[in-house]
Amino acid sequence: MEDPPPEFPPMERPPGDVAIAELFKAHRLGLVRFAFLLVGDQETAEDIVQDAFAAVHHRWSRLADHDQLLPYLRTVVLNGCRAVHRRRVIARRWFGVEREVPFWSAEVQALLGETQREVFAAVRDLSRRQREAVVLRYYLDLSEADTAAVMGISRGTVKSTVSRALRKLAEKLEENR
Amino acid sequence: MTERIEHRLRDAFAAGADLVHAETLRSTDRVPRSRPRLRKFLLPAPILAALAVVLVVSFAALAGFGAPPPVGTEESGPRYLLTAGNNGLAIRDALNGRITDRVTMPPAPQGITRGLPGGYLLTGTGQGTTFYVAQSVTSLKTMVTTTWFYRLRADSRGKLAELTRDVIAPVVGESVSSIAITNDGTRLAYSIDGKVCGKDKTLRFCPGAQLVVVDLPGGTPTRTWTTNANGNIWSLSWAADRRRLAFAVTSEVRVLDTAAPGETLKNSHTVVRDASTSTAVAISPDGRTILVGGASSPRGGESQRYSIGEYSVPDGKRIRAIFSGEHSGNTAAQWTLIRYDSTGRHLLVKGNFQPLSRLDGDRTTVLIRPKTPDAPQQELLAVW
Repeated sequence: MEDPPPEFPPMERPPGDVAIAELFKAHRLGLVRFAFLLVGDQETAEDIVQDAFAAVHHRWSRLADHDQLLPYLRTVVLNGCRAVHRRRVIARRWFGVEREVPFWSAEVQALLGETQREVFAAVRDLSRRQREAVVLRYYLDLSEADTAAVMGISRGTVKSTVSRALRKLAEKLEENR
Repeated sequence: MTERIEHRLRDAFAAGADLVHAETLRSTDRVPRSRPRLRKFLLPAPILAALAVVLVVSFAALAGFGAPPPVGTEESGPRYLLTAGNNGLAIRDALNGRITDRVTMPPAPQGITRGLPGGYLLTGTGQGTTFYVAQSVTSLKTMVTTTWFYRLRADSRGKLAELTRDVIAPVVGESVSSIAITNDGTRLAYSIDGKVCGKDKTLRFCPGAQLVVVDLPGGTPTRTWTTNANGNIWSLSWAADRRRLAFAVTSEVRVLDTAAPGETLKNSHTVVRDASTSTAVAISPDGRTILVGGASSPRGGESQRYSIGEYSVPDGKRIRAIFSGEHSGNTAAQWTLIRYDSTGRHLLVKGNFQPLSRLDGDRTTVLIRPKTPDAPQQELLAVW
């Protein structure tokens, strides 16, 4: 009787796959929530995050620092949110649809308290950059340096952007009291 | 003061983020992977591009039509629609009409319902995910009509994800004839029938129909208009600016600027004066044009021509017919629904002779066919 063919050892998953899978499990929800705060609807936020992980997987071999993937992912997600906003602006401009795109849908707003809705209404009126900066600083609680890294701007610009945003928010929210 | 603002920001962001629950994320059993890269060809890019165009045009010409766009993109239009028929409410795939989920509404009191079983009226934000339902029931004891308002939301699989009742306070008194929600879901308009006067042969609507707009959430009526016209107000539709509201009353099609002062509909702008009664109308999202369903019987002929005409809102000029057909028989042709999606590129239409269909440019797709060609059209409402 012939010897049975040798059993091959189980193939190891490439290290990139393992690392990305761990990241996905640990951070997907947080990144979707982060994107949700910027684009206002969950489905779009999930799409952006899916694309971000796919992009990391695609670039795995070229990424310099595999231990700094979370900040990189945040940057990719932020860029995805910016692309969504650009598409919405183009749609308004070119298709003549004059409408405000709400930061939140009415049904989502209904689930928030009145003071929280006021805050979101005020945040909606900030510029795109100011909005991003306050979400990174006060939702993700990133330092100025980390916020600068995600946004691709200098630390000084983060400081001045956040300061202007807070001043604008204070005027808006204090006048509603 | 800065600290207070920072605290409020943290609180609001945390509350907002908590609205995304882990269990509502789309299920994935695999981590997203990059798409396979195309091999590089040796031909220069401009020649490749030209070849690609030739190939695509040739295929399209041979096939006679283009490949359907991916579901859920702006090209394909809304993903889902909500229908109300003899079998109740259902969420359906907007590309092929198949039911993805049935909706069980909370039980309503016994009574008389107008129109469809269940007395439902439907409206949607035009994106295929959020719908509002009004249900009117007239009590047999008191003959008073109560209308309840619900919000339904479909998830990415076309399953019912949310059913919220009493999104605004019930309307008590007369029946609600029509409802419309803005594309962003922040304003709901509804019309209330005028009182019914006379009896037997003189039975009719008397002046007093009302149009009401409420802001959501909250639901307190923001504005109310009345009309002296003898008839009810129906076929409400909003432009995307959340300001212009189109409707039909008696044989006129009108547009109301809901931000302008006034409490009667005499301030509304008449776009079409001699529309057939009970037709369907829809204003385009950009508010510049309005679609009006119509039918005519050429003299001496047994067939009727039915069409959907597009009219300019500012001057009422007829621009073109976007759909037309012929119908033979004794029953008068009548359009029962014409609805734009939120982009204005896709239409949902139905008549008593035209099954529920979607119009995407030049392409017409029947979504729900009668069981046999001769079977009467099912009474059906649909929105997306």
